[in-house]
Amino acid sequence: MGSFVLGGVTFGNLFKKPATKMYPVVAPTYTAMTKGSIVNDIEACSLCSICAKKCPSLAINVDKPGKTWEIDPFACIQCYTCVRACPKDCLTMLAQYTAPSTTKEYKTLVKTGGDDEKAVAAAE
Amino acid sequence: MAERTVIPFGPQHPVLPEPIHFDLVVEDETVVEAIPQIGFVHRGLEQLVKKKDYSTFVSVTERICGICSFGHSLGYSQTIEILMGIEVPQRAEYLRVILHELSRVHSHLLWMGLAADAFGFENLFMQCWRIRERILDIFEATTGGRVILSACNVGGVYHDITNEELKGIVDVLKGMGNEYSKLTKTFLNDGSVKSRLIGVGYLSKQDAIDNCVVGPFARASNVAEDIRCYGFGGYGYLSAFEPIVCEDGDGYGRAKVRALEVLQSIDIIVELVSKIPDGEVMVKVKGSPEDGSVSASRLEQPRGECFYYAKGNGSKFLERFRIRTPTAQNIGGMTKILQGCDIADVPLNILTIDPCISCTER
Ligand code: SF4
Ligand code: SF4
Repeated sequence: MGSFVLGGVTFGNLFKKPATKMYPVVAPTYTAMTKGSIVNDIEACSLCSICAKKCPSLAINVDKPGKTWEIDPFACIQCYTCVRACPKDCLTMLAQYTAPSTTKEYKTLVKTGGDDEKAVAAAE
Repeated sequence: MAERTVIPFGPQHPVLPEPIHFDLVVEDETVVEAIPQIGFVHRGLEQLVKKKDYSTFVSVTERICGICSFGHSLGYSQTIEILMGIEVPQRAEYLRVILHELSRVHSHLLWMGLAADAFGFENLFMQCWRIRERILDIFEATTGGRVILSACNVGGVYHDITNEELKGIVDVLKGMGNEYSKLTKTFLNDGSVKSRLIGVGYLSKQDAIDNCVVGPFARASNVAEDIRCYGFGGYGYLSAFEPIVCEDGDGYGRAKVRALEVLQSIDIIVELVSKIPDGEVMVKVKGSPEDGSVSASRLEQPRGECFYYAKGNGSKFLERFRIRTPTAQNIGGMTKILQGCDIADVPLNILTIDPCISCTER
């Protein structure tokens, strides 16, 4: 009896669109909420290290004297902690996942402008 | 009398999805004793709790299990809230239960698929998983994650699910109903499923009580034990709750209990969505647990009762944290049902209790 019911479902499926997608030929769709990867608007960042201290997987390193902010995208667990903690709101969670790679590398961002220059500009 | 032989089974075995080892003492084709051994993927959570502060540690508890991930973050948060005396906003309690029940639906659908796969019913397996995918889509749209939700922490839930979204969830679940009823019809009436499950792995009510088994495993042996009855957290807002029990005690009974629990979870979600109050979903948590404070809480996970214990020491780091997962509790019953079964039924018997050995190894 049960087989006939499932047979009907299966037969119906023959005329429906497949439940799966032909990735990567068909691009995946993300929702507005999807947690993909973290990006930092480095020019807005004050290099305060709060994100690095709060990150549960220690994926972020901040070097204030060297003016760099770096993240290991493969160590990041997309937990949102840094985005919530950042006082400057410069971190964003993109829906796009980190692209596959053959090496695990830090993504380093260097801050070019900065407080010093602003200070100089203010002095002038 | 036939000669006794010991057959090692697992932790890596083609038919065994989980890292558990059994020494099966067999006489001819019959297992007379099964000696379990765990500890292959131990993760040292009790040490880790000293290195991550209590609000960060929720990321670790979520990763105890990939299926009841939300449940563990909920159980942990609940325990710390009791420890620190935090009152959670009502809306957050509702949302927690809704997300937790969605996890139960997807966990049971996953199990039904795996069970179908185990007895070679590939078509049924794919249909179960296709339906399950919709729950994962709901998770992705409302919390951002498909498996690890990172939605819950001490003090509430991070992201509010709007009332429209909740209505959308109810619509999806109701739309699923028709397809799901066809699936259960197959699962519970099909001859091949019945021939594989009826009478397999029988556990009597007395044995279930003696071995302290929990969850659907116990309820299938007519032990009406469900933590949701006690109304912890958001479950207190339900108008009525009756655990689903079955007298069969065999693999078929366990399948039946799980199949019906999916419908029960859907009813719970529908009821809570109709009653959910507006308001905040997260309170700000300040301070740390007091020195010497202890708390414990219980939660009904898809696999059964899960117990949490926490002890504070005045700092942001917990002194001690312990979880007893449902599978840890069910291993006793599992060895019991293996006694006297056919060697060919061993993998299926293990599967019918829906084991999650990796969660057992905290
Ligand atoms: S918390 Fe924000 S402002 Fe501070 S270092 Fe991180 S990204 Fe920059
Ligand atoms: S999302 Fe979480 S894991 Fe990823 S960088 Fe931010 S805090 Fe770290």
